[in-house]
Amino acid sequence: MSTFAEQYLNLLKEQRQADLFPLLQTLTDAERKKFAPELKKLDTQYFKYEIIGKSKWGGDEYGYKSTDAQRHILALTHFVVYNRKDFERAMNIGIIQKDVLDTILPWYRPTWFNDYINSFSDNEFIPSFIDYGWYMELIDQEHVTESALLIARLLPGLILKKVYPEREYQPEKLFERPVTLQKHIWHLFEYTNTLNWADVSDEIWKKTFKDLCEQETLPRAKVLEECAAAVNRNFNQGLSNWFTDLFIYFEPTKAELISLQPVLLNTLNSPHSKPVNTILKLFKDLAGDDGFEQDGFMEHCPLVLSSESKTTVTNTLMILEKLAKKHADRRNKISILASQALIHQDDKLQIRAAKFISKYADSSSLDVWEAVSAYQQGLLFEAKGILEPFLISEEPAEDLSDLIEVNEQPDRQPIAFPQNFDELVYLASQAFDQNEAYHFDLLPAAILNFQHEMTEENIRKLLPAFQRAFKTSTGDWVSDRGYLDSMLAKFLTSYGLLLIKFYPNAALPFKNLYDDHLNKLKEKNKDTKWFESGIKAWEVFTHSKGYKPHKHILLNAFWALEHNLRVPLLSTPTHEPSLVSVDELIRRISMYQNRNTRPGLMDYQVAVMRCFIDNKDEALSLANSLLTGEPRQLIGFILGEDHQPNPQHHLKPVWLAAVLTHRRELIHAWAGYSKWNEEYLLAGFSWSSYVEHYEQKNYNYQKKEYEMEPATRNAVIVSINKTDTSPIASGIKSLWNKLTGNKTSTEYEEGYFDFIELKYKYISAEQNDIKRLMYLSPNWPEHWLVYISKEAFRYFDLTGENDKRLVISALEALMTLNYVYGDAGHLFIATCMLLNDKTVRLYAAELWIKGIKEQTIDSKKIGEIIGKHEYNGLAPLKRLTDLILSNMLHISPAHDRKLEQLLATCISNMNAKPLNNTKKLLDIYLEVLAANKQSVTDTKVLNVLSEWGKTSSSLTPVIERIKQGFSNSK
Amino acid sequence: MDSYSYANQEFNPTLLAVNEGLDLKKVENLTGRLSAIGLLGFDLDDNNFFYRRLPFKTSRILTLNPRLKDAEKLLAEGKVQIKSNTGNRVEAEVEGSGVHHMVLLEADQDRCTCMWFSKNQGERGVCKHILAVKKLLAK
Repeated sequence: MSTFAEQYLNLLKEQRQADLFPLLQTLTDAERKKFAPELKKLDTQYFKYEIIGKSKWGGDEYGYKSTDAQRHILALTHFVVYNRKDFERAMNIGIIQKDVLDTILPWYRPTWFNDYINSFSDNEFIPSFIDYGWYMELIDQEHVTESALLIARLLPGLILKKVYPEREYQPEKLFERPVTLQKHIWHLFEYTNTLNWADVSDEIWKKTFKDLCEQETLPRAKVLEECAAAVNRNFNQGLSNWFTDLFIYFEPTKAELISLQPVLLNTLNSPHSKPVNTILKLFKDLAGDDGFEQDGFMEHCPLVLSSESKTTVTNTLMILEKLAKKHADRRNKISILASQALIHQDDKLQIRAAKFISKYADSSSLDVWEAVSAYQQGLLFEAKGILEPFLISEEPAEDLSDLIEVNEQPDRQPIAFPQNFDELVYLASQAFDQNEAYHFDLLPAAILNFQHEMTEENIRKLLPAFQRAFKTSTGDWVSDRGYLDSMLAKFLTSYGLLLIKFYPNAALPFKNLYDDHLNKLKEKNKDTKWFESGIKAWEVFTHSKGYKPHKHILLNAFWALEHNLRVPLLSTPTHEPSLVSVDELIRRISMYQNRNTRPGLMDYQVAVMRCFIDNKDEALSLANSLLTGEPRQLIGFILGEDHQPNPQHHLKPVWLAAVLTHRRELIHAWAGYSKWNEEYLLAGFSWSSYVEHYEQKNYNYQKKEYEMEPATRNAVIVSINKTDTSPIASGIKSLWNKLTGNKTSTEYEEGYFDFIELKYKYISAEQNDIKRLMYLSPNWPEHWLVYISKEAFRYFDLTGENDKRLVISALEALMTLNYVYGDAGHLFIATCMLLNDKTVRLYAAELWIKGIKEQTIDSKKIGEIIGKHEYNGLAPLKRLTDLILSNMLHISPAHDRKLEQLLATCISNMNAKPLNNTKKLLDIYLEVLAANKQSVTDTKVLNVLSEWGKTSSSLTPVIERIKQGFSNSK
Repeated sequence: MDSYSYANQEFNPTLLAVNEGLDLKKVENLTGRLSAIGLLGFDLDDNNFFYRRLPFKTSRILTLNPRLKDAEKLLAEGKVQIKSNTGNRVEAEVEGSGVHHMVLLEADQDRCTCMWFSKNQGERGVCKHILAVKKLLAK
């Protein structure tokens, strides 16, 4: 006789469903377990979704090779054979339903069936085939045990019969089983369910409850009590709100409300605003009543008064006012409570609370005075005026210049240079992790410093770093890696190859590691050309010149290593974030002079751009004692000496870097050291922001074709006028010069300012490099800001994560720098204040605060740019008003004065037609004017205000108040 | 631990040593070790350690710590070699995949050349190589 498996297989092949159950009934528990793996194999075969032929459109057609009947036989077998885990994993469409299970459950019920059915109560959606009626039948037949959770989920559907597309109301269903109304209906108040969804289009359930109470089937008092309790049961917002609505639908009487007070007071703790506000409204009517639990309510006040919902705070204040009116003896206590509403930076709420306090509180009470004056710092001007008797009198603001803290010599943090070979080892192994931006500079400098210690043992110690370098330049790209990391990895690999050349024996471990990696690449059929090419051939795929300064510095270092020269790199930072002390620079240059050799030109330029001066006189005397010739003149020039351009200069690009970093006012005289126009050298550019009209390709479903349709998008266009001003040499002459290697006076040594560029079609890794690019010229990174603004703000708001990262990294870099912003810095910071990313806006606000403190930012320029962006409403004005309220208002008297300038220029540049939220902007302006005790005198601002007043009557009161000014007030 | 403390109770190693008659040196690193396996938390407001009752058997902790498990494996395979030990400064070599990592234990700092350590600089705990060296020294 054939085995069960064979019989089953035949049955399946021949699709004999009628014979299935008798066959399955022969199985014992042990046999079921044994057959399960066989069944899984059949599943894989019969449920395989694969190509079954060609579709009528010519492509591949996918489907099952098995028949519907075969798959149904398998699904029925799953129920009988599998354990719960396997059953849930397998395909079981159409099995868990009444008509199918009615044929199986009488002779077989899996042990997991009860848990499986009851577990549906945890599902977000309960399948439509499980309903209250069938579930009760299963309970009656003792196939499952009753779950209150699942009953609460199933019951909302009981009185609604779906008759597509309508629903039929069948309240009689509630009366079919006595247990439904006696017990189950109360589960709806206790467990999460979908009553709110069942009631979404009409109020069937609310009506049902009311009818049941009116018929006295359900006790009204209990329904009300359960309903109030349900609001507090931490249900989701929709269901909480539904119970709130039900409570109101019942129109509870005053007596009922008074008896339910303890439960209703608890509702004030709800995280949802609707229940809180509904109960507060009910309390408003109740507050005058003798039965009102005023102590209980007052205990809850701190919570509701600090609510983010203005309605909640206003309602609470209204109730408190009723209480204050009624209980004259408790007015001070109630006023102290009300003073908590002053925490909100909203003038209406503050004024309401202030009026309340001034009306009811006793100004001589120390307790009230203490409570109110605690909010003095955050009070807006009108509330401050009302509360004057309760506040500490303020000293008039001192002169602006005294209030701004100018830090002449910032607290500079020195960077630790590796002191021994072991420290070089640990630097090298983390150099590609960007733990610090300056690690890029430190690594080649440290290798130069320890190149004479490359023994076999030390090279072995460096192997993990070499291995990281190999993986960095040839492994899969990771999201936090920059192109500079790949460049540095290439440098380290090239240095390893140089070691083989210099010390063939000692460098053997490196050679083995290198060969191993090369073989692995070959085994994986990867192109090894990139790996084998050295640092000299390194190039970024966008061909952006912006990476050349870093590459040239690495080449400068590599040249010294190739020639076994023990000289330092000039540009290695000595202080964070990437600064070089002028004293150290002088010492480094003198080492080159002593060895009668020249530093690399790019290294020299970057060093000069990174240079900072703390003590001019000391630096000058050090330069006098250590340097001679052109380098001595150059350092003198940086320190303030007069020097003129000289055709004999060998270091022309370095002089240019010195002029543009330290003596920009002299650029006109020195512009001949570059082929580019002065405007470009000074990071000049032009920009405009507007709403751009363009044509967008959209699919027309009716015509079934693509069409061009007009559309609009925001745009910020930054134009850089970069012009080659060098006289054009004749073709033959220039060819002759090229062939002979002659350099005429019209040919220039390319330098840093020839290479600044941020070029990409789609941003890929530039966001991970931008800090290090900006740190090439930490004293004046304006060119980079022009390029970032040009690329990242093209469509105003930031769209991708990489764009955001680029802008945030640039903002982070600016936070570590201290220089007087030019036009690019202002455009960058002002635009960031309006962008669609909160982190970006907060950073921009912080930079403004820092800039005012260090006197490096011009608030008028910031205001002007914001005004121009907002002329056409490029960003919702709310972004700006929220930012000012939360981060820029009342930082210090000096900041408030600068904020006033910012707002005035912003308003004067805005459109005569007011935008949404202009009222808030004007409220803030009024607040700042009041704080500064100033009046508006700028006619441009007054004109715009007049225009706004004409267009919108709601703005008139605040505009009138602004026009009155505060310059005459105390 | 479960027999000494209840959940969220303040944990004071000195008090424990006094109560249980333990050597103070023995409990010196106790807070660090217990925190590392998740049994202690640190309350920033109260400035003290507190005991955490974990939702699984404490005997499973070691198997849930992958780096410690890996460190045991390195030791079992004999991949750890102490190169010098002057008391204040221990230099060791641990075999990694394809290279030998250099582990340096100094008074104020433990360092390793592996990727985990290079990336996190000890901020997410020490790497398996440092752990292995420490375990070898403790034997």
